[in-house]
Amino acid sequence: MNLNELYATQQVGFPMLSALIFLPLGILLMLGVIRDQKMGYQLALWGSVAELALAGMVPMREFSADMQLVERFGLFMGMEYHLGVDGISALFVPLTALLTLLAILYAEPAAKTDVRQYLMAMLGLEATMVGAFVSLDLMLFWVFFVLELFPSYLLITKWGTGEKRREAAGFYVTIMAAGSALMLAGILMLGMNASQAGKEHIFDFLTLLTVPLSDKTQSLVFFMLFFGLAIKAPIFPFHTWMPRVLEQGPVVGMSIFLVGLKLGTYGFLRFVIPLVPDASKEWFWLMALLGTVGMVYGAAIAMIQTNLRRLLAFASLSHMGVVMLGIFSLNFAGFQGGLLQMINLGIAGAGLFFIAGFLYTRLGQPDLSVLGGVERHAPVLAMTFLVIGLAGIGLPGTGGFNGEHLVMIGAYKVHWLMALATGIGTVLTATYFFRYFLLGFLGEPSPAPANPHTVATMPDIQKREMVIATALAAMIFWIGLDSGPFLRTMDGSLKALEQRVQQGATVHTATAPAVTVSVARQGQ
Amino acid sequence: MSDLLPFDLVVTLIVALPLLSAVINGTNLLFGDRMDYHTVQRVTCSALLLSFLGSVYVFMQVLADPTPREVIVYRWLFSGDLNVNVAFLIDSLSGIMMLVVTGFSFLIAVFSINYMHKDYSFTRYFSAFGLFVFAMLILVMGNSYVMLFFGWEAVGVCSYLMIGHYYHRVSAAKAGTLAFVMNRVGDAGFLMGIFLIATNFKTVTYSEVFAKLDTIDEATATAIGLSLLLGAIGKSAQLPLGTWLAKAMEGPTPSSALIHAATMVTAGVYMIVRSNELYNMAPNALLVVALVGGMTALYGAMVGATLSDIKGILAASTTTQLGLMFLACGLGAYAVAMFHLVAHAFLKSYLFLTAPSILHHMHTKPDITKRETTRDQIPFIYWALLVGSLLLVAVPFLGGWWKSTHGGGAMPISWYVLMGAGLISAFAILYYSARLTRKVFIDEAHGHASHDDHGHGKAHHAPTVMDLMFWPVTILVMVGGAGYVLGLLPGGVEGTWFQKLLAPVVASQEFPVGGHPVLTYLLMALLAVMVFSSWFTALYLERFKPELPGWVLIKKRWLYNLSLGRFWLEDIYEVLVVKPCKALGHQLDRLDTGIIDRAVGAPAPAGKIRTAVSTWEDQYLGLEAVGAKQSLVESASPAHTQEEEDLHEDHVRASEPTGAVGHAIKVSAATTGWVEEKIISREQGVVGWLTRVASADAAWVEEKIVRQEAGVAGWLTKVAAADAAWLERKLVGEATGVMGKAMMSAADLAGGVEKHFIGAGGSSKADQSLGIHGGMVELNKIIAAMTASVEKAVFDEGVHKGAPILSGIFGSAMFQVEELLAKPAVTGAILVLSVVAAVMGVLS
Repeated sequence: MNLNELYATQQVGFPMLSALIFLPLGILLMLGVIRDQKMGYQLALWGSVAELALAGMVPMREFSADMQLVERFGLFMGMEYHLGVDGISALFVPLTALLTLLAILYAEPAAKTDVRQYLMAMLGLEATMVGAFVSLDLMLFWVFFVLELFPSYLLITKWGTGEKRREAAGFYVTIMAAGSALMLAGILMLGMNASQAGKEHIFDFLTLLTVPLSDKTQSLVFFMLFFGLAIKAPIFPFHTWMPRVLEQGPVVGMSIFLVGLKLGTYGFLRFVIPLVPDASKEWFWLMALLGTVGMVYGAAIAMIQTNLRRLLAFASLSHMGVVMLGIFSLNFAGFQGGLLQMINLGIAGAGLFFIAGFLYTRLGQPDLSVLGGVERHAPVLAMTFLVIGLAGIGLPGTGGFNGEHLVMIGAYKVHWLMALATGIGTVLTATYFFRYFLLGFLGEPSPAPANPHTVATMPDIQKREMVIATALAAMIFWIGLDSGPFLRTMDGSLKALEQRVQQGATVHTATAPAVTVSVARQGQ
Repeated sequence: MSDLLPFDLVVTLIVALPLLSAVINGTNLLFGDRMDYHTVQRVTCSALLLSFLGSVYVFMQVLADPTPREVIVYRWLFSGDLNVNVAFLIDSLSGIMMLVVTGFSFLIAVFSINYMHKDYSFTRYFSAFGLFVFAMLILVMGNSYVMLFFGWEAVGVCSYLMIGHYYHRVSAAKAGTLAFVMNRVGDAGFLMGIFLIATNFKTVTYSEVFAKLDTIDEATATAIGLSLLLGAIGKSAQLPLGTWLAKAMEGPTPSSALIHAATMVTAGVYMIVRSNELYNMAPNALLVVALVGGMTALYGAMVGATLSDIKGILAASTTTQLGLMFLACGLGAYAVAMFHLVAHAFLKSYLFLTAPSILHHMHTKPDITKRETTRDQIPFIYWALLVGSLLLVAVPFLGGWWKSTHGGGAMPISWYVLMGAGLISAFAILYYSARLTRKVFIDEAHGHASHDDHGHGKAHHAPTVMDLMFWPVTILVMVGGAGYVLGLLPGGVEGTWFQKLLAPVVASQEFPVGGHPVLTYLLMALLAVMVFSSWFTALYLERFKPELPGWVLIKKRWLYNLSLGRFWLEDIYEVLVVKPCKALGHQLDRLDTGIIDRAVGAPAPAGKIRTAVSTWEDQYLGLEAVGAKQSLVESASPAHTQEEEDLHEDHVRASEPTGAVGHAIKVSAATTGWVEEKIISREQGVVGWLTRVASADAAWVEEKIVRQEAGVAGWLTKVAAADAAWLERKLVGEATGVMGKAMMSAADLAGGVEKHFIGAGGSSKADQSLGIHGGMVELNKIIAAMTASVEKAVFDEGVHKGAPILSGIFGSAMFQVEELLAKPAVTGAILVLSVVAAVMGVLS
């Protein structure tokens, strides 16, 4: 895997990625000082606009495998502050920034109390997520990965809407901690191996690429990392925290959280497959199997849900199955499809969750017991739900189609059964989505005498909601109708990844070319 | 190249304009539907007109220079060596299709203005309309299979939107969902075909694929052909995926005309013609195409012969015609299929567009056996419909179906068989089209005994605008007719202008169809039965007993029921495909059932409409005529008018049992009711006895429902409840009212026919039927007892001894699993165990 590094100082003249991490953190701190709620809200809003603008400026180099905007300096114990983006991670940064902005836009209706602290939690979530997406040092990645738990926990317990939110948050943090511990074990194993090979920066991704690994170690590391990421993703059977968290958690804040989940599958593409390619090749069938099971299982459970938020949790599980099938096809098309699908589902999943939030603010709970006939009383809201849902189904013209299509091509190259599984997934998705749309959005409003807020009296989409829905729909159609820029951006890195998988990591530099990391350290 | 530039621009604009109109209308909708409807309709119609003019220009260019040309807009999707452009292929085939799509969509849009202008979601309709045209153009103009698929899926969505246009009717929404899911099944095959193409040829562009055809062997070609065929079967409503088309009639009539008759459903035919070089390599795939087409034609013909609602007949006719097109493709006569496609678009859209006017006249009486108007009252529409029906009949013949003059050499026997199938289907079309016409306009006397409750004796005149709108359509038909007369005839056969036009795209082909002899003879035998049946039916019925639908078929009650029930395919799918997909846990999860049923009410009744007999639209139009429309729209409130009460009752009546067992029960119930119908006024003893049985059953059933039994029982109880209710209603004597507004269920027809026997059929018939009372009573007892015992056996065994169906086990098991997994301790244990297992596994 031949990765050049382009330093941020050379490319843009300032440490852009650090700025992306510390801008939200800075606003967070300022919010701690500013007591005025209105001003605080304006600050957070414009801050996240700036963050999005900055993230949009991340230069997408097409057809390039280079690590860009690199910043690195050593910390302690072999750990490095090493940031950089390439085709794999570049798209997640603007995605995170966009969804944070949209969530903040909807913060006031969503958080009934303590809006300022709510904003702080959101910004904290954003900072840790961006940090995790741009980390090139495994230990740094792990730190961000763990740090993300704190704002999440706060969001769930403080602004969660369910009765059992504390329980859910506790469960979430516990199981995440367990996963993180296992992941840490895997990272330490890699580090020890590197230090035996006499490397200095033992957790650095690029350094680790040059260190040969025995098959057995690879498998061990693979599973350790797998558990951490599988719980995050989530992958069947480690998904059980998610329905609770999504059901009990905050209304809209969870939308960004859903993007955070992509860290799970992102981790596979970023670290697991390149670092332990042979183990990945050995165990790909297990991953594909888990993906398929999760896909069918999630869809089946989603079909009988009455609560939209719970349904989205299982839909998310089902979609992760498709992504896993794509990634573990271990070929170029599969990687492309998996990565594109992560972006798509980040948008579509978050979008549907936004709509669940809109419904929540109107009706109290997006449940079939109060839904029905939404289309008649709030046609635009229902249409938005339909459009975003169609992206999840993978209809041509939406991003979902391109992603699913590529996953299928990739899967087909491995085994036709895997392609078939993906195909089944699309049919099932259509079924549960349309079932919910039919029961909840079409038909007649259900009489719910106990509740003063009914579908019949609720307002249609509001201005802010319209901005959110339009932005998401535009993204969906952009990816769907012109996925060229996205595919070109990820092209180079994924080709390098495919090459790496083919070469393997057991053999040392005699055959595999050494990584040409510029030996000269960053000057300043 | 400079002279090509305007051409490229025009081609792009043809596609872009409908999209633009959809976007404008959609945006308008998004921001609160502020434009008045004049603007909305102007936007759509002008975009479509421009698009049509552009298509004419492009077609002229193609005529001048038939060389296929590609217009590349931009690169859309790529992966490694696979490249997909947004690009269009313009040749004679796509030129013809463009004309068809833009021309008809423009006309139908103009028609829709008047048809839909009272609809409160006018803008939504036109947004979907523009989107549909855009998608359909992508479908026919795309230069690769992926573009084809793009259009394919997008038209599917538009179809979903259109079918579900009256979305607050659950049945409409459900019909839309059914169509979408059924199409998804076909699409899975289509996608597989695309992958096979992509992996074998490394490209998906038509020209490149066909250029590389010699690189694959016959087996691969067959596999690709069959995969693509599956997609075509779904989209073109062929057997065995075709059941959605009848339900699709829930949509507004103009959209049915456009989507479910003239354009979208022909996409499958287009795809096969487009891939003709591929199919020619795979004779076996072609044979399957022919068989599917032949069987579908037969199926559509039989179903059409038993139906009596106008849109249902049109849908069945569409199925038949599409079957014929597939058959022609399967025989290698692609040009014939294309000609048939174009002619069918003319005729079917014509017939569909006359349907609403008829419905206006016949308000709330979509069942043609119940019509009472006369020819004198509506002469123009009568003639219009008659001409349309005749042309419909003529197409297969004039369209070059008689190839006897053509081609020497011995043809394989299956060729004759398939030709025969086509012939008989054509005959059936003749039969039921003629029947449609005469049933609607000529029959004066019969069947009105049952619906005097509405108290209208005269047909209402359709709005003048709507009458006016027939002219463009009529002119279209005339143009079509003129086409026959001018050298286009017989279209698509070798040597004609049409065939020469298509020659660059479609290689002519001798009849390559072979087949297994046994299959052939089987098919022949079936056809012979059909010939006899159809002839006899038509002769007898049309001459002597016009009030009796399907005289011969009804003698074979099972066959009649079978046809009327559309061979229960829908129910089989409901059980085999849709249910397992949709409701793995739905019926078992008590929580779910409890909440949803309580929340949404009982969603079942209106959703289970078997045929399009009395679509809401028809009633809507009818009520509009009597000024009750508003109350229907807001029918959330309890029914006040008689009209609405009838309506509600109709919905309840439309509740149909599903599945084979349900049907077994239903058919026996029908028989029971049929007998009862005759005895009802005469034999009090039997009535009393039956009442006891029925009420006992009903009570038993009710107990089940109250207890909300899950699984198969819960579902079956609904069936039983419907049946019991049905019986009871018959017995208690509400029968007169019910029969009048009957949905077209087997039960009703059986009853209805008997009623005719007694009421209108004359004394000798009545005596005859009375003569067999004794036997019937016995039979009735036996059947009733059987029904009861079957029910008891199924329910008791099924519920109490715990033998739920497979999906039940699966679904409930899954739900249990999830409940279990969701326990933190269990998740933790799983995690620990898997870590241990992984480590052990790696280290050992």
